[in-house]
Amino acid sequence: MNDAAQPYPVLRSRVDARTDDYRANYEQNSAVLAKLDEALAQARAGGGEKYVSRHKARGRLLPRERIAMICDRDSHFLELCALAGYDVKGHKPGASLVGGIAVVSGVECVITASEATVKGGAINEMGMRKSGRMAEIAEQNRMPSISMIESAGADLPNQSKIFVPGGRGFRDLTRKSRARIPPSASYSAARPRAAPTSRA
Amino acid sequence: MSDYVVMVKEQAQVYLAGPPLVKMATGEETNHEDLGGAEMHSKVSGVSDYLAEDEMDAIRLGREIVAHLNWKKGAAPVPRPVEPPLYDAEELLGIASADIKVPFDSREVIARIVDGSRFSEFKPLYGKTLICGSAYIHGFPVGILANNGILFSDSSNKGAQFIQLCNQTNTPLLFLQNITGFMVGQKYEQEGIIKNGAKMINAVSNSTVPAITIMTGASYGAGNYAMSGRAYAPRFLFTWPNHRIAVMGGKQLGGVLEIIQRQAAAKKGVEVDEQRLAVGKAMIEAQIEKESNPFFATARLWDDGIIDPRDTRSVVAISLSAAYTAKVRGTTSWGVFRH
Amino acid sequence: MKTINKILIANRGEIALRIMRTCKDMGISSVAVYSDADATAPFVDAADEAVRIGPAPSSDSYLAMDKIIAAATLTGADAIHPGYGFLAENAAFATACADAGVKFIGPAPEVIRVLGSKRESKRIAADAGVPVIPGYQGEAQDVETLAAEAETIGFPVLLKASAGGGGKGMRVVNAAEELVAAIEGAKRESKSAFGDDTLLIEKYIQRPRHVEIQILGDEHGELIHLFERECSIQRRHQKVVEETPSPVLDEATREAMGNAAVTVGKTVGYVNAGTVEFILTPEEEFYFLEVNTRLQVEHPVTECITGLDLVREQIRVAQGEPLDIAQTDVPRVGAAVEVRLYAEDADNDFLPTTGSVVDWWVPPHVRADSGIVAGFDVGIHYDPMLAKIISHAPTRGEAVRKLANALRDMVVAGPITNREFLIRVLEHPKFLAGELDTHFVDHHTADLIGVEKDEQLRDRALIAATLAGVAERRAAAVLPRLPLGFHNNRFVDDWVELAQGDDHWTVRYRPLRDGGLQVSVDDRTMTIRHLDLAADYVTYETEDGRRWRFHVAQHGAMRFVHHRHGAFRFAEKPRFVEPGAAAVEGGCVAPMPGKVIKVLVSAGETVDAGASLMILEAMKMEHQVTAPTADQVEQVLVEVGDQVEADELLVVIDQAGQ
Repeated sequence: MNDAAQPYPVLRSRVDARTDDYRANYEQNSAVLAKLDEALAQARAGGGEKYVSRHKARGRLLPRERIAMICDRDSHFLELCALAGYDVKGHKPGASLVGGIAVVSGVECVITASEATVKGGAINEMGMRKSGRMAEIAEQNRMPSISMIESAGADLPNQSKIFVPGGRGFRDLTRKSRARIPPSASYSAARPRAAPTSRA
Repeated sequence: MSDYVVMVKEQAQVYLAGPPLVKMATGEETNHEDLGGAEMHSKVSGVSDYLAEDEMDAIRLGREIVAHLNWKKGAAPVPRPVEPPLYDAEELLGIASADIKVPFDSREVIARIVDGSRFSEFKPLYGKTLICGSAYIHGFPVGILANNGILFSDSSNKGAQFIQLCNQTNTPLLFLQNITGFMVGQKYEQEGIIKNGAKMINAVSNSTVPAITIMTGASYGAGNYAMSGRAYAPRFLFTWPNHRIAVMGGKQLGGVLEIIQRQAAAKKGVEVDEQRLAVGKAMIEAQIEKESNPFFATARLWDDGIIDPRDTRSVVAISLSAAYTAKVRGTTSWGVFRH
Repeated sequence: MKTINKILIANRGEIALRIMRTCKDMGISSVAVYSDADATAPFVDAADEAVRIGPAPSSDSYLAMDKIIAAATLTGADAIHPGYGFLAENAAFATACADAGVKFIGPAPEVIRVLGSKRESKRIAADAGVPVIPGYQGEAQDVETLAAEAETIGFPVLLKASAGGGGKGMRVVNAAEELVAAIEGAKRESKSAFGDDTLLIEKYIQRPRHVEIQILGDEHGELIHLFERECSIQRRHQKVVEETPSPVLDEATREAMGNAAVTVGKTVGYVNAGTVEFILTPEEEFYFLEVNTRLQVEHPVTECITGLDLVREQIRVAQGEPLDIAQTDVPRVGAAVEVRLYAEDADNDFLPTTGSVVDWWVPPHVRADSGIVAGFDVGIHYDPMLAKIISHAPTRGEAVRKLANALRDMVVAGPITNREFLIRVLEHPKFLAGELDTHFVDHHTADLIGVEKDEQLRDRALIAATLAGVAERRAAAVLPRLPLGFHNNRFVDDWVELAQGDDHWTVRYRPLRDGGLQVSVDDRTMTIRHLDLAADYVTYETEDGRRWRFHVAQHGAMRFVHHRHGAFRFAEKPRFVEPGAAAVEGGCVAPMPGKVIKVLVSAGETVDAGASLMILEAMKMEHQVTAPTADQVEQVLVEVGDQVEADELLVVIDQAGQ
């Protein structure tokens, strides 16, 4: 630890917790945090009680359980875009995907897992964008990416539409599989790129 | 292209792509066994690299695969002892203004997220509406830019310069955004606010060190761009629950529209319908309010998530550590700065 | 007078180290001999020189007289100290030493031989006027003679096999009616166990106490006693707790016993250290039992109260020096108590245990004579005694409480030990009151064995076991100073599954914003705060403000948790099962560590439920391994001669239809 530089000066704080402004902020921010907790709880609930039970009855793990299992014990997990699709028509909070930064075998990775209790894990538009964002994070930060995918087989034709550039290739893949011809390496869907979100 | 594929016996399925990628497939309808069953793909087609007995086995394999990647991080800061901040993060809930029109001192935020509350401020006497300075967060060096008011010419210049300096030293950037915009008005136009604002935007666009943005209050208009909003691809962007994002604030927009409508009416020489104006204004405000609230934004992936302000230090540390998985390199090529 | 310069210690473990300590004090070189199993034992390095003498089994090493003498010759040792056990009371060995010109530190071979026979020694004692237990040990062995003798002695009587011990051929007869059947039964058993149906009859003493006198004689005819030791707390004739002075002896009896012991010793011209054992009745009558012609395991308590170093005295005597203390000058200060720490499972019929000693620490205010160190592997070849812990204090009460407390603080992690059993004995009201006899353990079994652990303490210990290793993981973590387990949207708690024997628990925990942890053991939830997770200790406070501090040692998946009020050993269930390492269903495992001496089945054979699959030998007894169900033998994993560990898989039975 060869830090020859002087330690930086300490910032002085002038916060007074007894002022009305402070208290008002504290109260209101706490109220919004409560709303945030509620929304996050909704995201954790996935497709809801019924679908969760059904999923577990088939002996399957829930996506968040899978993530918990694969992560190093006591390590951090920063969930990203947990509320994608929140209050958006046709979507559940989370957009059918759980994603974030975790530590697996000592390596920081981007993990995504299908929320199988929402429409069997079928991926929708917001979910696609979220998935793209996860891939972008992995690429920009050069982190390994782990995907735990559980799909709704029935939705394949629709899914291909979502896989955008690689969509066609993907459709071909499933056709080939049905004909019992092993898919070739070229099927790999290109990484869907997240379009820069313009919000203005 | 998936580098590794693990399929669960009698359950699994195929796919996906990315940079070094570990893939684990789990769960499917068993009637797709013929289609692309795990066993077939593991033994016949070779599409799958590992056949897992069950989910837990698949997870175990996943961990094993990651372990043997021998993944080395691209950069590592000089190891140094980590001092926690001197002040309680809990106080951030009282500091962050619930009403974003009310300003708050960003230094109080900085003091609660950096190691030892230690901060070396850059050019403190100039461009005071933008705080720039160096600190460490969990031992990672970071160059912080934090709004303390509107961006003026001088603060924009300072910001641009600071960003360049951080690129020179390969120091990641942390933007604490709380900005309603650039200063407008005659005086400022003459000072070249557009030009100077553009300088900062240019710096942000060309900067190649990792940037992390936390929106702690307002994020309006061009200020958003200058302070590394979504479009400028910070590695991570998080928001506080009190944050608002829009072209401009609802009341502001309402006010602007009111001014426009009154001016138009005056030009035509007619009376303004006060009630209609009031209703219109209220609707605009409500719409902006709805669309600018953090839940609306996060639902549409305008950010990577709303965080509890008390977690800011941890979230930034995790983000920095993730960013350090790649090489951390600043740029020396900056496009053209109009001076 | 011949000065000894180098002593070869024909022993191992604790006593070898003990003898070496005195050698160092006297400036005498020491030579250790060791078997293959003891190559890394602490006593080997502690000696000035060491010679390997053979493979693990005692008969090939520590009992191999020629090898030991060869080692003495090789190293130029001029004396051999035999310790206790092994060859210590072997007259032939003493003779062989003399023949090789090496001084045997002990009495003369002839004395060893004569006193080594129970019958002979009793005769000598009786002839010397020392009380012996009324009894009959005559040649006539017909039922009529035996019955008549029994009546003469007076009921109750004890029938004993002359040819051996261990309870075989032993019968207590309370009344004449039972005599004939008892005699016939005892004869049958004795014949079957020892090939000889010769019986002795002794008066049966109810509530006997075992009191022995330490004697010490020099080569110039002087012989003194060094007071008594009471060793009534025994289990299956093995001493567990020893103390001095005896809580019941009055001065007159003490003097009388001391004189009796000296008389016996002088009669045979006893030289060096020895112990004369007596039985004490509740009426304080004493009867001679036998003489042990060696240094005893429990000699430290005598050393504590007299201030003498008995090994030093032994060496001085062997050098031909006269005793330098007169009988009347032998000090007696305070009281001393010793316990023997064994690697055995008191709650499981005292089955011997094995394993690596993961951690070992004795508080400094008591004396600990041990042959182990942290990292030492306790095996099956030798006596399972790990250490002797001895306390000395001005009064008996203080000495006992001091020792009990020290045992509570002592950390011994790894093999199961009788530590908690010893604590219960020492803290038992009857023991504290001095109400002892040799049946103490049997009488108070319910208080001493199979005592339920305090559930609340166990929960706290489970939490400690769960948190052990957190400090290590954090130090190695990507962000070591980040709050433990940071999650911004936590779904499940972190968890660990722990097991002990047939019990298992799931401990879940989740960090709280203020640095505390919400923990639950199965369905019992609590919040803990002020966590301090150092390398060996886990400390935390429960909601009532009470502080809990546990010493935790980890070894593989084992978590040894120690607290003053209880020690626990949990196995952490791994989250993932390595392929191939999964516990095989339908397997037969070894009930204890031992050696395979017979394999009775082969792969492919069909067996009935309860059929004998193989025979193991352990602790000088044979054990059968039987099939749990009727099925086909899939695989036999061991061969005759293999040494196996407890729970090691021996045979795989194919559970067809499962």
